[in-house]
Amino acid sequence: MNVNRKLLLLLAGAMFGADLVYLVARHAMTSAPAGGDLFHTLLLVLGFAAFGAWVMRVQHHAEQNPVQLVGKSVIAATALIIGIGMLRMSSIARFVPAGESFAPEGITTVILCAFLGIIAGATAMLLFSIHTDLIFVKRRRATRRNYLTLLFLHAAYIALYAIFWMEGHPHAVPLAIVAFLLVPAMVVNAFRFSWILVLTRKEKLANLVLCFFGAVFFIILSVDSAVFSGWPSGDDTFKMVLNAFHPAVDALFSTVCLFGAISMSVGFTSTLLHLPTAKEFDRKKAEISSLHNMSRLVTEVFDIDELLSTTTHLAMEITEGDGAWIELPSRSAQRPEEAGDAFAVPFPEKRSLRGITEERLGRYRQSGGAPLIGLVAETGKAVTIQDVQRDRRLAAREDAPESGSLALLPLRSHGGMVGLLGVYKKTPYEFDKDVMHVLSAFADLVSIALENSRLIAESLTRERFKQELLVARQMQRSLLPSLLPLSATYDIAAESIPAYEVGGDYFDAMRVDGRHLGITIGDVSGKGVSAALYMAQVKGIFQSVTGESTSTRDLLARMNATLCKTMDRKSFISLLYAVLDIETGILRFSRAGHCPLLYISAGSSQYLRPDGMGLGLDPTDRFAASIDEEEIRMHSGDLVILFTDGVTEARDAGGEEYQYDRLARVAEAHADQSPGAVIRAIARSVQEFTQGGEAIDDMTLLALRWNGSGETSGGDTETLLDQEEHQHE
Amino acid sequence: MNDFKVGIRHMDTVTVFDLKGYLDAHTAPDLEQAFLSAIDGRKYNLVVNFRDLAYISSAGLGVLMQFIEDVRKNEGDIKLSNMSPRVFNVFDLLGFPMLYEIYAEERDALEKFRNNVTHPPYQKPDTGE
Repeated sequence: MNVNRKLLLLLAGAMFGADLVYLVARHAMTSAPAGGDLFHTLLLVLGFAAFGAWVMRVQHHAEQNPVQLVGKSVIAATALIIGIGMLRMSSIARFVPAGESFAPEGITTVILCAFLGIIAGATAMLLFSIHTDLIFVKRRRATRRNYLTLLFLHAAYIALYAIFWMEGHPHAVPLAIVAFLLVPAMVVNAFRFSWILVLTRKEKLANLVLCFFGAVFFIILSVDSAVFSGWPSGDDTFKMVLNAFHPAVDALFSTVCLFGAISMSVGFTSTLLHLPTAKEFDRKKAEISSLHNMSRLVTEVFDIDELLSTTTHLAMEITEGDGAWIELPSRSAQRPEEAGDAFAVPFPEKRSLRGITEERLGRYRQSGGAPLIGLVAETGKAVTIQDVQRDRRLAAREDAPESGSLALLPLRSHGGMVGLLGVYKKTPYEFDKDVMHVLSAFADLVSIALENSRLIAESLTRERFKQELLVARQMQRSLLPSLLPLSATYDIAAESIPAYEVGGDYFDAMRVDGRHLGITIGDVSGKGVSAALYMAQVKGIFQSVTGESTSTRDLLARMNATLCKTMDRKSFISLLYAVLDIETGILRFSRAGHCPLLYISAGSSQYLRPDGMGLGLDPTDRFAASIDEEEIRMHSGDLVILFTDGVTEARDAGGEEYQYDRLARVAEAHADQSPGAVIRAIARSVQEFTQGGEAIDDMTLLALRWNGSGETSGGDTETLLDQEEHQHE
Repeated sequence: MNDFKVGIRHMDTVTVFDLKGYLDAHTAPDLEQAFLSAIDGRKYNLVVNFRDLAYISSAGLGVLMQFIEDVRKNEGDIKLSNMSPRVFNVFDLLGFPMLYEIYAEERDALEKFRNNVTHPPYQKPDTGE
């Protein structure tokens, strides 16, 4: 591309150089009149074509501000006027009459003519290119067609002018016709200057001045060209120079000047017409770009402070205000969040000021002394205070002598007001209907952005919670045993079904010693990781103290003592601990605030519920005193079911609980099956029951069947409700 | 979601909380707020009326545990009243009757505060079991 451009310039240079050599040679050999001949014309056409192509390329690649283009055009016009003036005052170009025409006096004049002719032609082409760019700044469908017409007429005029001139009739009718068509074509093209509309006020002013000078200069050049066109009178050096070089250059020069005069005049007039609305236009433009920025901002809401800062910035930009502020009052002043949503994140209490100090803002209060936000909160609508000194809604302050106006807009979310956007201007009566319309739209966007920002914060909390849930669930899973100790004398099975939000259900079974099996089931209050941590602690204590005593009350008392040291005040654990003598089938158990034990013997069931308070509720001896120990002498086929309240408190769609009775009935119905089958039957029954309802808690079941040891089988089922501690025999 | 509401009444020196709906892990913070506001106001004679409470989970019980120590340290108490059998069963299972005074009627609890009886006789309501 660069090479291409250089080549073009080189080609143009070569052609002009060749032309110069030819002209000098021609002058030396013949005394023929100056002006065009075929060879000279050919070289010139090629040279200017290459130059024109070069100009177009250079010019089009630079995305230029139209006002700058106008400026360039004015500079070129100025240079031309000065150049022509200097040429006329000097006497370097000398001509002698030659027949009807004239001829350059000497070789110097020939070279000068060629030199100046090329410069004039090149300048004309440059100017034409600049004006072409001005035409194409705002391109429409007809732009190209109009421009091509202009270009064609231009070329036709130049060609005809050259031909007729050479034939000695520079004012022939065809030339006049083309000229007659050329002028309207110029006017039509000049009216494509619609870019003037979108200029800023400053640019419009600059453009007005530039166009004025451009128009004046080009009119001077055009008039000058027309006045001296009565060739071959031979009374103007500049005209003689051009025509001695080539009449086509003269034609090019005068048409370009005319085009410059027309387009600059049109430019001047339209700039002048658009000037009164320039300020308004600037504001609209600012509004549009601000709203555009704001709509982009709606997605950039990760940083609330940044959001507020940008909001005040844009509010000032839209209104050309002197200050803006945004207030998000504390949660209590906002609409209360919907109850029950644990993740609801309220809007933060925030203030962000720009261009206005807290001190100044503090001066503006309602007449009762209440803060400004109340004015908007009352109606939920935007409020305009056109004159802070006179408005009755504001408290009169002797220390607030400055005048000014305020716009107060509510920021809403879910129909409630969450904050205030305010704009301040130093002069009164600045917030007209138009401005308030735009500000209201803007405030709505800010509301959306704020709401999005809040929702993002909320979803982050939710995400964090989900992660915690996952960790808790994994912890809980790893804490529950995967294998339960087995023996021929009993069968055991257990299952824990976690709810969506992990509760703190726990079960375990382990051999205490060669003869005893320890079984426990528990429920840690609270949910999530903290519940899982307490559960881990329970497991640790259970496994470490289980072997030390077969007294279930002892074990619970030790567990309570240890747990009370570490648990926070609002947490506690319900637990049931049982010890089975695997030789005799005697099951002793204690309950620390846990659900009762379901005992099924010979097809009938009963709940056993010895007294005992939950772990972690009372660190004193009162705990141990509250715990009772109970004993069952199990008979072959007897079944014991331990469970957590997730089973009995499971709710159906209507909020009805599963309850103890249902559990007992289902257990009885399946009592002859294996412990695993009984658990599955109960779980299925609960799931059928809760169909459509939600599982709010973990559900854990543990079933133990006594198969009999031979010596004890055949005896009567007997439940000992023994309040005293039993020592193992 | 299940609804929960706490109403606060002031009866002489006693602050009464009326609970309504479902008190679980999600709604427990509301009750916590109510207790906090009372304790911030240096009110330590508290009665919780469970008349309209349909359900209470361990998180709800946790709120009571959270404040009882502070309240008793300041020579006040949290007394409970008007529990439905279902709600009472939850308290009873965990042994709360050993830790809290539970009354069939609110006025009994108020009466106890008035008479400043520290260890009233505890009567187990019908649990419906």
